Amino acid sequence: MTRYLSIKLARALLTMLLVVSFAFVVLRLAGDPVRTMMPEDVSPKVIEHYRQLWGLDRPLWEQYLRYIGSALRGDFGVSFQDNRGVVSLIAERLPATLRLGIPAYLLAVVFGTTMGIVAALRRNSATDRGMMTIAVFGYAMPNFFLGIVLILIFSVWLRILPSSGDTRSSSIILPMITLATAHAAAIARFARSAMLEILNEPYMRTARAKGLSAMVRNLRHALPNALVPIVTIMGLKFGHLVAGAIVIETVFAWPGVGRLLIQSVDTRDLAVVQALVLMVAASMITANFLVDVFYGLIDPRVRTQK
Amino acid sequence: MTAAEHIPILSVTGLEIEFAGGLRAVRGVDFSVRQGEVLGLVGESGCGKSVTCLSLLGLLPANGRVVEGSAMFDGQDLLSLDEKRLNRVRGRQIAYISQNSTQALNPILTIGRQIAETMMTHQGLDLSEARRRAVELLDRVGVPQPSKRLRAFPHQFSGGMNQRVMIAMALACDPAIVIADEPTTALDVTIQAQILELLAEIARERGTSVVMITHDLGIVAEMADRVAVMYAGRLVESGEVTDVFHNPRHPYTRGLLASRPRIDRRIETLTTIEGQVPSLREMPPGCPFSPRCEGAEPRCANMPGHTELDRGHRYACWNPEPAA
Repeated sequence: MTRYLSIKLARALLTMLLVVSFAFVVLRLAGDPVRTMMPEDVSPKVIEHYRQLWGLDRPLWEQYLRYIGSALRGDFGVSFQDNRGVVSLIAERLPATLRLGIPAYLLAVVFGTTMGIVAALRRNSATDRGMMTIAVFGYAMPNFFLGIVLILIFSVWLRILPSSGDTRSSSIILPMITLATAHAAAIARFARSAMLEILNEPYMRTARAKGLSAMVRNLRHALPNALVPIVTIMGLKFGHLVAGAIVIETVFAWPGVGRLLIQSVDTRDLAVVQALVLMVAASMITANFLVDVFYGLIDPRVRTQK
Repeated sequence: MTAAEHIPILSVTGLEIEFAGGLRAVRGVDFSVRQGEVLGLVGESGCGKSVTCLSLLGLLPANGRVVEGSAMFDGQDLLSLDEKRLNRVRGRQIAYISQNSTQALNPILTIGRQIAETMMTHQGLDLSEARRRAVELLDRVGVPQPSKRLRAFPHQFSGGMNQRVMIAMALACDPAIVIADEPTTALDVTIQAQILELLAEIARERGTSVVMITHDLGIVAEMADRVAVMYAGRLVESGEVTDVFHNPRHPYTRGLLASRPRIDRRIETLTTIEGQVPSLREMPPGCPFSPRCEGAEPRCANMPGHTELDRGHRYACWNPEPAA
């Protein structure tokens, strides 16, 4: 297990380094940020001044090494827009994203897995078909569209929930439902097929032949086995928490990092965009690593592998 | 053989099993299992032998169902029991050993847990008591260092060891009948013999009846007291092993016996039965073996009844092989 985890950890760190490098290069290719930010008629002297100030006049490799060096010390540079530290800028917005994302994620996990497992256990019943029809709709419907439909129904027609912003405690309801729906639908479909596959395994017949009750068979014999694939998709969805917030936060004017990212891309605020891309990548890599840890905990074949 | 041994503890009559699309996989099968005997259920793949046994425990796949027949066991018809009552029979009175033990054991539960839970379910033992019994059982089936191996997982065992675990699991509640569905097909030949001997030995020592599903006539000759031969969903011949082997009356049984490779005679080519088993969709009327049968007559288009000889030797054929 230790060896297994060390390998996974090393791989996660290497992926992170690759992402940092990739983001660095790609964003530099996107053009000179100083020129984009400044008005057309600004003098070359001013541009040069800002270039020097932000270190953009140095060779690319030096910029890269400096960036990595300071990133390791927790310094991701300053925003070109208002000269504030990127870290504090993100720290200011992150709580709003998490306050929306985490409950939405938990909601999606609880509803998704329950629906998927119940549908699998009642395969081909009306319950199964009903749930899977809902899941297909939830999965197929684009986030922004569902958001707009919900705003139309609950804010415009019924006038019971606020349509945007983070002003009241009820403000969170619509964006949370919107965010949770697609995740829940994907998890439900995945959980169903994972569970169905396990229920067809020969060892499930052994469990029946032993006279175990349906409860014991499903909870102790089938579910832990089905959890391996289910946790995989849960991990993927966890990684999408931040990324998925971009659209939702824009539709609902939610003051989180998703909107910060859109704003920063608009203004070519290089340091902020770069830090946010890294954050999204880091959350996915962390989620993947946690999934690997979970595999080890649940599956003895992984745990005992040399 | 004493009189007690002749008492059937399980009597299957008129069993008919149908699969989705109206395919009859088993047609009018009758057989019985006596106390303490080993019954060999023989036939080619797809002849319905596994399905027959699975139906007794309500373990048919979702697309199959019993349409007719009864299976009397312990004063009740197994085929009409609900799930709850069946669960009191499964594993407690009738145990099932499947082929390919490594896939038939749950990969994420310890060996000990899987053996113990049968006893916890049926005998109300607590975990520590059930574990203690599991150690004894593992020791009995020849798993070395049983108390240590209790914590092992199936993937850490060989196929043969896993099959020993399956046997331990099947015998945990001292069932009256053990159904062994080709228990050695996935194993090396040398291990096969060990496993079969072990099963026979324990069954004898506890007076457990064994229904041995196999396509291997050698296994039947060596282990079984009685044999039932199935062909295309029908029981074509049954009786004491000595009677059926020395005096086969059904042409299919005779063909099967003749096509065994012999070690005591030099032969140039192996004898085969001409033709193929008809598929369930193209079953001929009457005797299913008639298209391949050398002695087929016009009346074979009607289903032959069972003719009974001495000591329960029965066959279903209009034109049987001459008695030896």
